[in-house]
Amino acid sequence: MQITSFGFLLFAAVLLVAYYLIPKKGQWILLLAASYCFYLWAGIEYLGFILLTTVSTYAATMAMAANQEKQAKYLAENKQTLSREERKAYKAKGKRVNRVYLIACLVLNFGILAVCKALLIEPFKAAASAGTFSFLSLGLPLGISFYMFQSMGYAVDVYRQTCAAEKNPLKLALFVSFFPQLIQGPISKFGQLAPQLYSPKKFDGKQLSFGLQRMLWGYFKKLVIADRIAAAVITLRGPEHTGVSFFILTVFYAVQIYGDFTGGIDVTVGLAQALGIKLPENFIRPYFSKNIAEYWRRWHISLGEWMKDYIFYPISVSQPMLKLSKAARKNLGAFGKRLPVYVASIATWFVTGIWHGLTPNFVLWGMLNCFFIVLSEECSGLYEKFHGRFHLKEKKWYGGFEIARMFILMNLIRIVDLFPNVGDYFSRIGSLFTKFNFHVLWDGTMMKLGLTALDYIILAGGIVLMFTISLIQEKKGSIRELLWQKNPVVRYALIFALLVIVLLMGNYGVGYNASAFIYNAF
Amino acid sequence: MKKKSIFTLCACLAVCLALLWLLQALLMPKYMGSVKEGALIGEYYDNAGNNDVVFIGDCEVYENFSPITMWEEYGITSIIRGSPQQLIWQSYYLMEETFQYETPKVMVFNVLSMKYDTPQSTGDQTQREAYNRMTLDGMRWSGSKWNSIQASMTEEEKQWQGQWSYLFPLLRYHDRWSQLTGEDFQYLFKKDQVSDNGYLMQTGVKPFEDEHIQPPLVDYTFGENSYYYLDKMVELCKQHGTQLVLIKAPSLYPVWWDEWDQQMVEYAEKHGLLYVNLLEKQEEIGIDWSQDTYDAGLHLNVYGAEKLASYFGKILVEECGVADHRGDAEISTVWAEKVKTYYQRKEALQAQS
Amino acid sequence: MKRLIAFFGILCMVVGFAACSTPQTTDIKGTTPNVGNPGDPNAYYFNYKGTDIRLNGDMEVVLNALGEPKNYTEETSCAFEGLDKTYTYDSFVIQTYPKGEKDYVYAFWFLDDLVKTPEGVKIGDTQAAVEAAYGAEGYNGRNAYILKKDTYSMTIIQNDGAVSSIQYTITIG
Repeated sequence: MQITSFGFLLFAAVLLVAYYLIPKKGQWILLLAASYCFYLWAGIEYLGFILLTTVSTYAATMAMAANQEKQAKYLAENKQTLSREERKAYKAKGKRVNRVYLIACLVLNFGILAVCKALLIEPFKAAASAGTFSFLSLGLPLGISFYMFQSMGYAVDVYRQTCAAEKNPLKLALFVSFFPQLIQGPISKFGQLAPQLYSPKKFDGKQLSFGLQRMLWGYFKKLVIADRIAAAVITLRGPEHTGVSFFILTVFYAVQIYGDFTGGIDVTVGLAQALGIKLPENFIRPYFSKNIAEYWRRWHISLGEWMKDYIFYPISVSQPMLKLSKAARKNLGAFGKRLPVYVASIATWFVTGIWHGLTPNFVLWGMLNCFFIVLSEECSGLYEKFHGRFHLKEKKWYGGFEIARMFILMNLIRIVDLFPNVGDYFSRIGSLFTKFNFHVLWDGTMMKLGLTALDYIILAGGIVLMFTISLIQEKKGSIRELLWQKNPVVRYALIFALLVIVLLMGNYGVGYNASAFIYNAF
Repeated sequence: MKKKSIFTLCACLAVCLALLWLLQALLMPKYMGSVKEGALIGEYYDNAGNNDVVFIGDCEVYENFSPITMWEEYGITSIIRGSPQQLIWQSYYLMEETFQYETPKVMVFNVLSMKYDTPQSTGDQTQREAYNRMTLDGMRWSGSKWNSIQASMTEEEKQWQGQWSYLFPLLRYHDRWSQLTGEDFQYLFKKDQVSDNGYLMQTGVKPFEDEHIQPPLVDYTFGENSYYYLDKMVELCKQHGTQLVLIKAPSLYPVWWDEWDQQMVEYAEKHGLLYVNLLEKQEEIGIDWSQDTYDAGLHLNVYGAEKLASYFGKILVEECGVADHRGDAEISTVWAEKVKTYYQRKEALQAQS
Repeated sequence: MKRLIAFFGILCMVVGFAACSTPQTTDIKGTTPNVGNPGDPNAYYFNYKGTDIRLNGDMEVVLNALGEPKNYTEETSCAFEGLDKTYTYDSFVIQTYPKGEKDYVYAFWFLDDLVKTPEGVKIGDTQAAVEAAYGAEGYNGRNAYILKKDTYSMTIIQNDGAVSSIQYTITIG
């Protein structure tokens, strides 16, 4: 069920009404039932995948918890008799056992994810659909990347003893399958999300209203902006579009992915908020970033955090890395200090890349991001000298320049998503410096991209609206809070105006191509 | 305080809903100008209740039979529930719905649509969807309408969960705001009657010259689904004590193959129905293909439709025992009004063409 | 807040202006079937006296080469604008659909054995001849071979062991 479908809206509406009508104790059970209904809607053939993840996570975490408990009990009982070394050895042994549980769970789950992802690309795709394993060629099970990451994060947390294992398998099942975020994140941590899922919720009109408003805004971004500009993005991928046309593609794609992804997250977070559950923010106006590190703190935040906690950090503190760190510090001076961080970054970005897709362009995408992060880190000394000399930072326009620079840079990196053939990508990038076909802007090319003059006007209006809203949020905080303080009639009128805009100008229904949210595919 | 804010919320909701309803009414196509066919189904309700004969089917009924002529010549009260490319399940559900408003003595069904077994078998799906809209949007809400929607949706409509957009047509016509014309405002609240008891009058003449041909088919057997709904029609009419008459209108195109005709002859025989292939009665009807068609033989114009009504009315009287109501003062008053409108329309159209 | 209201106002104005200035042609009338690309060089064709007659080909080119047909008819669809046209020549029939100002070949079929498919099959040929040219894959087990390519299809119907009809058409959907 697409979250832009009428069915989804009806489903959400029925759920919301039921949620606040039934006894509060039963709310989490209703959420679980709703989540599984939602999942079954996608196809009963996918049910096995999520069940397997739930069961394996439950088994592994319960085993680890039992082991930890046993260990604690033994240590408490034998506090007097055991020497420090013995205690340490005993603990280490226990940890080894738990590590086996954890690794088994990780291997099983990430193995499934890897197989599912591999089956999306040739030659595995053809092999799967041709061979006896045609049941494998189902396509990616709904939300697999997201619930997988969320569950595995939880397993690691239990292993690290940063959170307690959930004893109730149904409660764990809800954490894994919670449906609004099942589709495209955000990826939540157990400690942050789970208590909210299970606690009883009193009806709160303000939260409900805020949640619904946010959903509406999400639909605006998705239906009016992203799905409208999608047609032009598809056309502009054609080999004839180089130089200036390619640059336009990068900007259009930036608009599309922003509308699509943040719109989808708004719907998700909004619905959760209406249910009284606060999900972590996944985007904080990323296009206002002034440097690449900041950009990645503002874009797809929950994935970044996950990668940091479960890839970057373990690599950084692993034995080989500690050794490398020691050696580097000794031999390479200041750079040696930074080297281990860079190595861990490269590994993290490599994983992030292949998570997006098992094709060379996604690996390249990860590496490009990493390259520019390292580059800017390495050049930070130079920058400081430069700014110390010219004092540009104090100038008002310079902030704008930095934002524009970052926007263009990220556009050029991001666009590699669309070019599975990496050579193709580089030749387009090359064309930016060799082909100055500015005439495409006025020779009618723009009208042949699948957008009419009216589409351009709606897009322009929509983008200005998104920009204005972001600006207000950046300067004055939550728009919904600002509106809440206004006369309710004005508030309702504005919300209604937005609703009408979405209804009339959204790209949906017969005649439009059903375009799945871009992030459903990951 | 709380009471006041709840009141404000409710008042605002009510205003918003009213505005949305108005917006929907504005955006829905009015079918008053160039595509009058879309308005036909909706016009039934103002004329329902006392008809002895109800015609159901595609353009071959609403273009070819003139109920006014049948009234004038035989005192038959009849109405047409026709719409462009009406499919057999749509005809069935229209029939089912008709019985909620009246129980006619005779139901006449044009069998051309037997050739379409599924919504997918009708060719272009964009056109199909538009045809679906013309048949379904005009129906009032009922179980029959809902079932007809479910049976009619194209793959694309299903993909978009199109049933909701029939419930709230705003979801279908939402992007028409950029194409609104004066007609949309003029007929926002009240529409004109474009038909005379379901008959859509044409006064133009375009003679039939060359024979329309189609390539032979691989398989002439009508589909299972078509037969399923035809069986249901037979059953439904039997339940209501209404005589079902099958006809093939005398339109020369699309081709009505002999193999198809044979199947209908056999079906009628098996179920004890009257089946009249009017293509075979062209001479008796007196159709002059140089005068009586407005599109070279695909449909009749008003002159042809009057001749056909005159011929078919006789069959209804003689073989189905349909009564003459010209002696009934109340009915006559109503029909006198219809006759007047009919001739005014005819004159106006003749003046145009 | 004021700015926000002003913005909505501007947006509505822009949109209102747009509504007046750009005529759209996607209303129910004038919807053309989804028939693929006019001029598609991969579509089925046959050759008649040096002229290729191809599905989705420009009818004007055919008319210029072959001259006026023996018979010509027009077919409307109820409630839709645009005419489908049928051109009957001695040995074959061509049907067209309208797109923009032009007509494109939508279907053609043979009437006698004076025309052949590019693979050499003609009306009256045996099943063996059909299979030699097209293989057995498209056989429906009863009376026809149906071959498909993209949105195009070719149908060879047999009667009493001999080819009775050869038809090519765009399959719309």
